[in-house]
Amino acid sequence: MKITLLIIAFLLLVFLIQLGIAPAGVARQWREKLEANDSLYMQNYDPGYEIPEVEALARKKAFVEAQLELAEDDSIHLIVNLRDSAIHLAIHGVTIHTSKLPAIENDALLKSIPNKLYLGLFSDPVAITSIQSTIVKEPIVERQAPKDPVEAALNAYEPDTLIQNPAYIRLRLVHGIDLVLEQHSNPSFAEQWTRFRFRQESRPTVGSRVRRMISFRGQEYTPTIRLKLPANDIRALYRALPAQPKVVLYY
Amino acid sequence: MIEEIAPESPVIVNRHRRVLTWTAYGLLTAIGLLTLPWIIEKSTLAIIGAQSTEKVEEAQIANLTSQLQNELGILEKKLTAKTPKGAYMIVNTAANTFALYRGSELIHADKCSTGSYVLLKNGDNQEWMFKTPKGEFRIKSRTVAPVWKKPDWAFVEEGLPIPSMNHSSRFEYGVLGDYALGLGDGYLIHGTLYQRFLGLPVTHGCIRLNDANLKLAYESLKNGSKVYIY
Repeated sequence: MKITLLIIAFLLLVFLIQLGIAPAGVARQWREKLEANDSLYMQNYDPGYEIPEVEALARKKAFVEAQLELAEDDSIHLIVNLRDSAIHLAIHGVTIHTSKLPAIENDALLKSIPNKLYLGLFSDPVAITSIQSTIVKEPIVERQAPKDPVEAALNAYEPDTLIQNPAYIRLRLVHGIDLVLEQHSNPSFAEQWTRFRFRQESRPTVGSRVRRMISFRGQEYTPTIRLKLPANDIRALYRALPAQPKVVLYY
Repeated sequence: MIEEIAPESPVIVNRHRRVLTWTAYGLLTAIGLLTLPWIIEKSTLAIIGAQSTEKVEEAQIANLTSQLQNELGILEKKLTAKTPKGAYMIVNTAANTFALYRGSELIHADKCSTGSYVLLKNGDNQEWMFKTPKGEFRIKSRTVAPVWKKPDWAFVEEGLPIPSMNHSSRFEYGVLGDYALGLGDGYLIHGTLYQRFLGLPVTHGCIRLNDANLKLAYESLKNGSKVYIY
């Protein structure tokens, strides 16, 4: 009995330590990836960029550079400016939509990474690898052609303006970061339930947690930026994004 | 000699105290365990975020700052230059609204109607998607009193037989409003007889405006003016 209790206590301790060090593991992976892919940048990095007043300018410059790079692209893309609490859509360098963000939750790891890592990760536009959403991208309504004018008059199309599902979108960025757009207000129970289920979907299952704990592989950690904005803006942003969207992130 | 031994005082087991002590231990352990990941996370993040100890000269900082400021100024000018100087239009197909701009100045914004997302199927062979395209477009044509040459889908949608290409039934007068601005591929910005549907997704891909907005758009947008649709 005592031994079983000791083993359980040990595993629990291992699990808790794994949870604690998981963000550091992600930071290490990013650093290793940068060293492998962009070793020149890592070697030539000027330590002066870590000084707060220089850091702010360097980040702003990286932000504008990334926007200019995307301006060469023919697709609509997303710009997330956490410093100004705003999210934009832009094409060819022209901002075509702006939405203010009433609430922002930035990840503790992202906030604490050194400037060297920040510039390495966000100096270029970041590709979005997958999108999960509670709303449809294109509300396509399939209709068969009527046989005659009488049937056409009977089936006259009336737009359905009541299709307003709660709007939640998760954009998985190429660095394994989740950019989550959540509708700002959740007045009804159905909306709160949708949000709960949507958030649950991204959490690791108990099984995967236990497997990782037993195998000492370290727990999963997904840095997440959670942005709240009006549901209509989420619909507009989601509908505007092309098949292979990119995002410029600035904070 | 007989030594007198004082009787030991009985040990009083204070049950309440014991329960309290163990509860306190339990609580402390639980708090410790629950805060352990947080403490470790905060410590590791503090290590990750620790500033470099490398000394940087004041002069070097000033140099870097001014260099970055100069570069930033040039880059920001480049980015600002991307915004058209003349009039341009932005259309939001999700909200069915449009905005007319001149440079960064908003001239006018109001409701419009865009594609309905209806997929019309005519048997297995033909289908049409009534969707407003997205991206950057230019005004390619400007027409006063446009005549609508009805495409095939307009007949299929009404359950009518498709006439020949130049049959008189293909031409409708007055339905597109006073003006039409062509975006290419048959997509137009035009007026509508169905003003009550403005603000709703009801069109076959074109952008419909009310009469006053259409006049303003026609007067503001020239051939080559940009239209951004998202």
